[in-house]
Amino acid sequence: MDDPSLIFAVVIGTLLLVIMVSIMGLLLVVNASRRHKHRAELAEADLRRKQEVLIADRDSREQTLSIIGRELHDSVGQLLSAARMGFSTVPDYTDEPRIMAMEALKEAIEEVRLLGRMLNSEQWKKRTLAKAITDEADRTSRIAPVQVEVVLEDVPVDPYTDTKIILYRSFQEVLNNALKHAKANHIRVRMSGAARPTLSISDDGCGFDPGAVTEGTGLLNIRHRCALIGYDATLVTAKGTGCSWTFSPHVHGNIRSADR
Amino acid sequence: MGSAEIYRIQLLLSMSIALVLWMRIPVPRRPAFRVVGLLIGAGLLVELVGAALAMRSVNNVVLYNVYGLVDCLMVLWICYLMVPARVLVVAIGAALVVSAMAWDFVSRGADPNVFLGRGIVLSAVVLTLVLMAILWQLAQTSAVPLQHVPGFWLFMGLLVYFGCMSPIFTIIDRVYAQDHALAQRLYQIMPLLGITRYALTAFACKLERGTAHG
Repeated sequence: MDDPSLIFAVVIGTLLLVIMVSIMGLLLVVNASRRHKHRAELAEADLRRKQEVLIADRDSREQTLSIIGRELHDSVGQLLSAARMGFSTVPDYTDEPRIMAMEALKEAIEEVRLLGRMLNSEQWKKRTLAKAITDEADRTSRIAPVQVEVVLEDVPVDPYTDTKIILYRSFQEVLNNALKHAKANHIRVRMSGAARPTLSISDDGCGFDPGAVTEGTGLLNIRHRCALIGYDATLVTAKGTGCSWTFSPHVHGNIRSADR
Repeated sequence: MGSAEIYRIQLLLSMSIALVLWMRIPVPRRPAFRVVGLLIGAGLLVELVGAALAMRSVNNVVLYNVYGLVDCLMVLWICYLMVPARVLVVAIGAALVVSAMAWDFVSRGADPNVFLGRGIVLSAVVLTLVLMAILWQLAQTSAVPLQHVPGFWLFMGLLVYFGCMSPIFTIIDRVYAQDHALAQRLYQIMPLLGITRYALTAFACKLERGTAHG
């Protein structure tokens, strides 16, 4: 290649080729990055939509429970109170059946009030999670053949209402499962941490093989609800060893702090 | 057989392959690809007639001048059909191309037998800008990977052709008087650009065949 004109032509041709290939590469990279961003946006929108559906679902359930709670308190509670007042008008009854009936009425009124409070989400603004869990544990210990032990560690600050409601409902679901399916005799509840507490619930029930059982709506709901408040719901179980649930906040999780 | 003839045969071959692949796209074709067929057919016809005229030593400059303008306008038409959102860019591009060719024609004494080199260079610059805008739009909006989009390869072929044409023609114009050999060497790049253009058009037609319904 001694011909300088040929060398010049080759240089020009190569230069143009490099420019064109660079443009092509740039366009491919821009397109790939755009598509990646678009996919991420779609995934985020999908997650937002799912969260909105879950929030709407939870709000609707809470509203229904609040209505039931109010009805229990205002209607059934009032009727029971009226019955108790009726009994009170009878002077100095001493017979055993009447005394027992009076005691049962008193207990029924207490139960209805407690239930009403637990179901009414408005009450959550006044009630702490630790108190709600302790009350429910006491109530369950009274009415079911199971001992529910609650251990509270470092809980000076109450969580946000959203977190409280979801952790409490999850606790109720786990408690119900332990009674209904696992036939547990002893349930241990441990709550630790401050504004974003960790809740652990373990039972001595029959447990189950997680590989053999497909997750039902209950378990899935627990996980979805916890994801809403930026919590992980972890279940450790095996046949014959009981179940152990841990509800812990994500380390860098999405925290829903709105106090609704 | 000289290198010019070899290049011409290669160019005709790449055009023929592009035309065959275009014909294999199932009917009905997308409007843009109907014009692509017209563009390949017109190009092939002009090259064949131009070669035949050259062999008979008849001046074929008029043919190439007219084809230069028609080629540019057809490319702009394809741009519009492929990316209608860029209609303003395409319309301005068409106006500039026509103006550039008219200016060159008038400035050379309105002699149809003079090659409108400056008009074609200016048109190529305009087309390069339009094609880059179209390709940028495609890169920003295409939901499928760009390498699977027929339009991308079609426009890349056109960009290579028109994008390289203007600097090469400009250099040729500058050095022609001083270094005729260099001008000749540089001119040899042009058929290579044509071959690249039609090879990429052929690939776009192949992709279009794979993606077209029918």
